[in-house]
Amino acid sequence: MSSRRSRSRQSGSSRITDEQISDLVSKLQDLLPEARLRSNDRVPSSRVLQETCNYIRSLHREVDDLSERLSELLASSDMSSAQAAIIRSLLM
Amino acid sequence: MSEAGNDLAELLWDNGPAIRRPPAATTTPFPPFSCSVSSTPHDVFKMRGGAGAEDDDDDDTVPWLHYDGGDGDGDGDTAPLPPDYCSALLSGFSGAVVPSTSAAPAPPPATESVTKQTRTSGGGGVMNFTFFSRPLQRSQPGGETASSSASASVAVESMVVQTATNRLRTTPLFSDHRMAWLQPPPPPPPRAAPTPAPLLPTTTPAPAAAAPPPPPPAATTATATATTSSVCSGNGDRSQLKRRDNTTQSTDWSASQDELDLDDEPAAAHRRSSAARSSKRSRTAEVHNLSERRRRDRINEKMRALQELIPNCNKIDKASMLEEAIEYLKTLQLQVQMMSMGTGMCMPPMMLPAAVAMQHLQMQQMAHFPQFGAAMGLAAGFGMAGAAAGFDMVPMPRLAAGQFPCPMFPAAAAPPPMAMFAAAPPPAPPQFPLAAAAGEQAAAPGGADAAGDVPVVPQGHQRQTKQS
Repeated sequence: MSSRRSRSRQSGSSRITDEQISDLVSKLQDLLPEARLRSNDRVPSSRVLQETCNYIRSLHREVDDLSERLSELLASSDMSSAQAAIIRSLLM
Repeated sequence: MSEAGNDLAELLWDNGPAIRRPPAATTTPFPPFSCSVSSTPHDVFKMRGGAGAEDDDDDDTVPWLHYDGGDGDGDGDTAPLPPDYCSALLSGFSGAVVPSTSAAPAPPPATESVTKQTRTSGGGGVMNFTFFSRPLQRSQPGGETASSSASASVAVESMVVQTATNRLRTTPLFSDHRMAWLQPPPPPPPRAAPTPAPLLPTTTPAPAAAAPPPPPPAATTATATATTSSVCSGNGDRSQLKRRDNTTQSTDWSASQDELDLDDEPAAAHRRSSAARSSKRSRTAEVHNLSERRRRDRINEKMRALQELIPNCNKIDKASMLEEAIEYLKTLQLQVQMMSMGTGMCMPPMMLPAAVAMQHLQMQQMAHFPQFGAAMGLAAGFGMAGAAAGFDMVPMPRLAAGQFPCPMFPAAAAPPPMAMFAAAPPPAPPQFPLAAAAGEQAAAPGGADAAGDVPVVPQGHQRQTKQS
């Protein structure tokens, strides 16, 4: 209701973006691991955004971790040049 | 002069009372009439003397006036004579006089003229008059005349002024004073002008006839008195009218005030209640607004944080920013997937069991990425089927070049590793896909899409910087 009212208060274009934003937020929510949003009911968009941020950070950490491991693998000489190339590409 | 002016104003206001002043002259009933008749300065002086003598009697006059006023407008006004006469008149003529209430204006004039003369005669008289007038004024409210008489008197007024001026001219003594006195009156006449004059002639005669009888001399000079009286009455009426206006105004005002108050009471209460209600509503609205604003602020804050997390996101628009975030999230997930695959793929063969276990673990962890599961399933399927070319990793092509840190596997190369991971066990990593991948990779950095429809994504920037 409040959102509707606030939306009605705004101009048409912003209303569209508002709807778009809510739509996008729900999409974003779908991308998040369910473990992060335990509640099945409507999650406030701010929470969705917060969780998105957290999730992105965790993903970054994971990427860093994985790249570290890949670099280690690359450092280990017992792999083919092809493998090394792949790993290198992954690291890049 | 200013003082005189003030006095004048007072007098003007008090003209009405002055009319009634006759009561004051009650002790000298006759003078007024003679005065009015003769209208000479001497008489005026006489009158003044009388008036001055009577100055202290105003208190007495007041009650009389009150009585007069209360009795009836016409009667009261028509009784220019002393109280005795008046009472007599009232008692005797009440029946006859009452009918001609409109005639009322005329009689008072007689007394009024006297009063006027006295007034004009000297400043002392003015003071007296003011004194007189005060009580009289007080009496006024009670003696509020009917509107009809007022209108009639108004009609008379114009004439009054004229006559008064004439008389003033005739009496050179106090001409300046009079002028001073008279000057003010003119303004009022216009107001009075519109009212029908005819009333005067018709009505005045009767009262004149009726009123004069008591005083013998007056009767003889009925016409003169009539004129003078008309003058006086005019003044008196005017003043009266003025006062009346004033009183009515005041009453109106008070009434309106009361009304306002009364209105205000409920209105105020209403307003108050409505205000309370509205205030409550506004408060709730305010709270709502506040919460809404806080919510928006929170969202905006998170948006900003998200924007910082997303590389190359210079979108100001929230919607596009979110889209970017979604895409970036997908990309990140894919990247993590790929890298974990890469780590798994690159595991030394002897460590494979552990690697497999880890991959399984990763697979499980990734179970909550449905699209990835699907992608992997697809990849696995393709890999198993040996479809080498034309495979589009679903989310990959859409990835923005700058966002995806690690280069994609060439479509041709991708399936096999995926298949390998999906189908975990293969002891030795397939060599050929790696070679193919290597070849592709070698080509990729330079001409990204040189390999036709293969969605090659060059290396990402941010990871790259981080790594190097």
